[in-house]
Amino acid sequence: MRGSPHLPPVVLGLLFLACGPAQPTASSAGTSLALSSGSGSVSSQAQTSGQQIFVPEFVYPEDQLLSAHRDLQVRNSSGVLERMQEVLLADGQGHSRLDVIQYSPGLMQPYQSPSSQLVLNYENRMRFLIRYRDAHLGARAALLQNYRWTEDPVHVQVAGVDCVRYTAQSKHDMGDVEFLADAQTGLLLGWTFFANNGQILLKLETTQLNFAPNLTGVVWSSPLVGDQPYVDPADRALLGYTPRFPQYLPPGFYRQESWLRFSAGFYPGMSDMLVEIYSDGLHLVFVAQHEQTQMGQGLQFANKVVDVRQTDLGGIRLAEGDLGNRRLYVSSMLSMVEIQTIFGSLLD
Amino acid sequence: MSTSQHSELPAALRQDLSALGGVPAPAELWERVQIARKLEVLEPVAAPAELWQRVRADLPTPQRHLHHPIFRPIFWLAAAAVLALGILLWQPPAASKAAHSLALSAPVAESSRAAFRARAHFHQAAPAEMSDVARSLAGALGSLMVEDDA
Repeated sequence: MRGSPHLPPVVLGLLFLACGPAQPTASSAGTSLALSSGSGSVSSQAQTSGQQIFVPEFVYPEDQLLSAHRDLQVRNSSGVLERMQEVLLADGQGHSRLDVIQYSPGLMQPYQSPSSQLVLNYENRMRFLIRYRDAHLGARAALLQNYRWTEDPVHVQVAGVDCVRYTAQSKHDMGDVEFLADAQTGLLLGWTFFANNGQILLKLETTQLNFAPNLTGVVWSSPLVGDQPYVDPADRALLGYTPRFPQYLPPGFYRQESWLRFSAGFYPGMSDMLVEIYSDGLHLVFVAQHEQTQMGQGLQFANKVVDVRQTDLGGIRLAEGDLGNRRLYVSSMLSMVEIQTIFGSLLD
Repeated sequence: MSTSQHSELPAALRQDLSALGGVPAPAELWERVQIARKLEVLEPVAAPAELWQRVRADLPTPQRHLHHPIFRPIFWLAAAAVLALGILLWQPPAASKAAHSLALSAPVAESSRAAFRARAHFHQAAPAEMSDVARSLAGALGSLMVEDDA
C-alpha cells in the first residue's frame, strides 16, 4: 500500500462532495441561471452565476402595515407591455386596498391619469389582484419539485431597500419567475413572471415604501359577490349541480382552493359559480363553471363536441365554452395548448 | 500455607481413606505430592530483562494487517462511491415529508393530451368576444380588461 498512486480516501471523498448534491443547498455551487443584477430589465435568458438554494420564505406586503407604490408591467393582447402605477395600502390586520393612480400605454411613454374605467376595474377586482395576480408561494412540496431555486449573490436596491433576487426556474417549462425580497425581513417587493420563451408577462416592482401610513378613512376591499370554500361532494346541494373536474392537469399541479361564489343572478340566467384554483406553487389555473339557463352564443348540446372560444389577453390566456347548459372556463398564464388540454379534460 | 496444614486432612477424607483398607497407593503419588509442595514454597521470581526482546525477535512480522480489506484502495473507492450516492439521494427530511403529503399531477403522454384537446373545437376569438365572466376571471389573474386595453 505504501507509495500507492491512488488518491487518499479523504481526497476522494472531498471530490465527491464537491460534485454537489442533487437537491440544492445553500452552500453548493450554483447553476448558470437567469439572473442579472441591477434594477433594469431582467432576462430569463441571461447567464450569470447564482447560488442554488432551498425555497425562500417571503413576507407579503398585504399582511403588513404599510403603503407601497408599485410599478406594474402587463402585456396587452397586442403584445405590448403597458405600465400602471399602483398604491397598495394594508393595515397588517388582514385588510388591504389596491388602486391605480397612473397609466402608460407603453414602456417608453410617460404616465398619464388612468381612465375612469380602469379605476373602476381596479375597484372591482382589487381583492383578486392582491390575492391571485400578485405572486405568492404555494405549497412547498410543489415549489421544491417544480422549480430550481437560485439566489443572486449580488443584492439590488428596491425602494431604498437592500433586496435579494431569487429565481425559480420551472422544471416543466411553465415559465420562470423572479422575486425581489428584502434581504433582512423577506418582505416581497417585486416579482416577474416570464413566458417559457423568456418574454416578460407580468412584472411588478415597488418604488416607494411607507411603514407608517395614514389609513384614516380608507375603505378596504370587500367582495362584490359572497363566497365560501367549496367542499365536494358535501356542498353539491348548495351548488345546485354536479360539478365537472378536470381529468388532466399539467405536471406538478395540485388543487389549491375551491370556492363557491354566490353569483346567481349576477348576470341573467347565471347560477352560482364554482371556481377551482390549481397551482404548481407559482402559476395558477382557474377552472370555473356555472349553469346558464339563458344560453347565448355558442349554445351546444350535451355530449357533443364543444365549440370553445379562446383568446390571449397578453400574459393571460382564456378559454370558454358551453356543454349543455353548463358554461365552462379555463384561464391561466400557461400556454394555450395547456389551457386547451385542461378544457378538453373537463368534457366527457 | 504451612506444612502442618497439609498434615491435617479433613476428617471426612481421612474416614474415606481408612475405608479403603489395605489398597496400595500408586507409585507416582509421592512424587507428585513432593512437586506440589516445592512449587508452593517458591517465591515470585522476575523474568530476565532481555527475555521479552529475545521473544519478540522470534515473533513473526504482523504483515497480515496490511492485507486486511480495509487497507485496499478498492475499499476506499467503494466507500467514497457509497458516500456520494447517499449524498445524491439525500433529501432534507422536511422536504421529503412535505413532498409526500401533497399529490402533484404526473406528466401525461402527449397522445392522451391530444385526445383531451380533440374533445372540443377551439377557435380564436377577440377579447371583446369573450363573456364578461370570462374576462373577469382573466382579470383576476392580472390581465388587462378589454376596456383597459382599448
